[in-house]
Amino acid sequence: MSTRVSTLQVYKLLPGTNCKKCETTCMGFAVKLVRREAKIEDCPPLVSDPKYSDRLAKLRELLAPLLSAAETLVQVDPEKCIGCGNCIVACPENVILDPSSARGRNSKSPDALWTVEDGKIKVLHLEKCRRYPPSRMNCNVCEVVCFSGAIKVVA
Amino acid sequence: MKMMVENVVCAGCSLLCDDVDVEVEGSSIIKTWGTCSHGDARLRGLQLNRLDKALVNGDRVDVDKAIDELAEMLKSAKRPLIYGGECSSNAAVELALRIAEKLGAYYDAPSSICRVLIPLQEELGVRGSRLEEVLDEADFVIYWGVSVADTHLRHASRYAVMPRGSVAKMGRESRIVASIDVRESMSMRIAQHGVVIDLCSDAEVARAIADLIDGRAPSLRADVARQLAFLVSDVKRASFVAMFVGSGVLRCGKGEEGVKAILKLAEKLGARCKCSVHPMAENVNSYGQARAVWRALKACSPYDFKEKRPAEPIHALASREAVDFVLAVNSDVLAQIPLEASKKLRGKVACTTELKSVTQAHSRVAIPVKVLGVEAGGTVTRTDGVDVELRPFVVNREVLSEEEVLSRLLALI
Repeated sequence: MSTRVSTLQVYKLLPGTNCKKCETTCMGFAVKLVRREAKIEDCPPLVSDPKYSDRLAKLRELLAPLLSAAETLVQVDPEKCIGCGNCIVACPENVILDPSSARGRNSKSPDALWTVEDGKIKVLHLEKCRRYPPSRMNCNVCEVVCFSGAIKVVA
Repeated sequence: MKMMVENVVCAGCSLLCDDVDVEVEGSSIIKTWGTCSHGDARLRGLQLNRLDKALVNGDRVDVDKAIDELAEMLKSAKRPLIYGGECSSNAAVELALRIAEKLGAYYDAPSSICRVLIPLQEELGVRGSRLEEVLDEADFVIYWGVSVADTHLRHASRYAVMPRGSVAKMGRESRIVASIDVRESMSMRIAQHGVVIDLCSDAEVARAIADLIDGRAPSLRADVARQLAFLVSDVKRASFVAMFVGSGVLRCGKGEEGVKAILKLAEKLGARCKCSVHPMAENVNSYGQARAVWRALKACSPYDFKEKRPAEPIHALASREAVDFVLAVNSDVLAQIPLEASKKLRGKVACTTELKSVTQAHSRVAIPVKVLGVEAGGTVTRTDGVDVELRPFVVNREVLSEEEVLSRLLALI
């Protein structure tokens, strides 16, 4: 089962009044929250009206993983990583940056997106990930091929 | 002074990855690039558990004295046994065999899929192929009785699934992966077909796949048969099927039957497309050890050089006290065999060893040796049967290499 935070999950916890105090609709605000382009506090009714307090608590809980994720909304847990290198070789962006990884070798180029160091994955250039803003491509290859579940796309 | 060494061959497992970089300071490896967590732990943890001096009955002695004592013990033993070779170079395995032959001793090594697969492959004429060939061409990969996410961590990324080959140009998108095991393993996360089968049912499953290829209904549990039907529909479209068979197949009383059925299946697939079968060697040189024994004796170990015939495994011999002295060649024999059998061997064991171990702690003579692939060079055999040369990159003048120790021992006995 996917553990990703979806826009619809977030939308269901918003007031749903489309008051536009956040300068957009509730659905638009949900998209912005998931992309971390807005904060919960940007929705005044949600934080000030006591009738939404339950929803507010649930929303904070739902969005908590996003706060600890990188700009790409990908979490890498070094404790779980076994250094198999699947992500490095499967990552379409990494093989462009370091073609030797297309043949299964570890990335050695300083320009590579990531490499395996001391038996663990190490991100070298996060900004080169396809998921990095503003492009935010919905790529999750690294998560799909990860043996140990060390890589999680959170939204 | 820190020093970078590039393109080191990692001797952490039988994949022998050759794209590893290390940073060395003195005799310690302080940083690695490109190793999996197993290889990294081996390389960076080397100095934590070393035996720095030879021991005879617990006393620190000169290595020459230890070798002399060991030679005397071997000569005076009535029924000695030489054990191991799976973590040694091919030359050291040859020397161990020669020592066993000269003494008229038993020879044994840890159970390995290579010991079963190599002779059967020869008998049935089913080929293996180089891992580079798999990388380039294989479009259907089967892991059978092995979870590479637990054992050979870089197998999928380095050779079999993820990399882009000359024929399998899209890497994992050009390949279909099946994982057949008795439990839901981590490897199944990258497999389109993850089939959990009953314990000891490998032969039935292999025969069921063969039946399905022929269009016959298999006699298996309905859920497994359904999964296999999907698998077969994909395998029928494959142009190169690479099967990787692990020691999981051997973990029941019907191991050889299972391996035979898998090879028969490979034969059948080979008539439709290219098909190769590979053992997933458990230790760095399990393949080389098994192949050396097979070539020398035309029998899989264990072997009795005195009677010139296959023998019982070490735990059976130890249990009935048929051996009175064991030389473990860089192999932790006492940790590998059942406790009751190992108790019978206490005080009757000697070893050559890279690291401190259970066997070393109970050995009458323990001789430290250089770490293979780090301090000592030599040729070992990759899991696909390709010989790989290891080059030492750390200088250690304190201890001898295993080949030197065994050569001197051979001369003395």
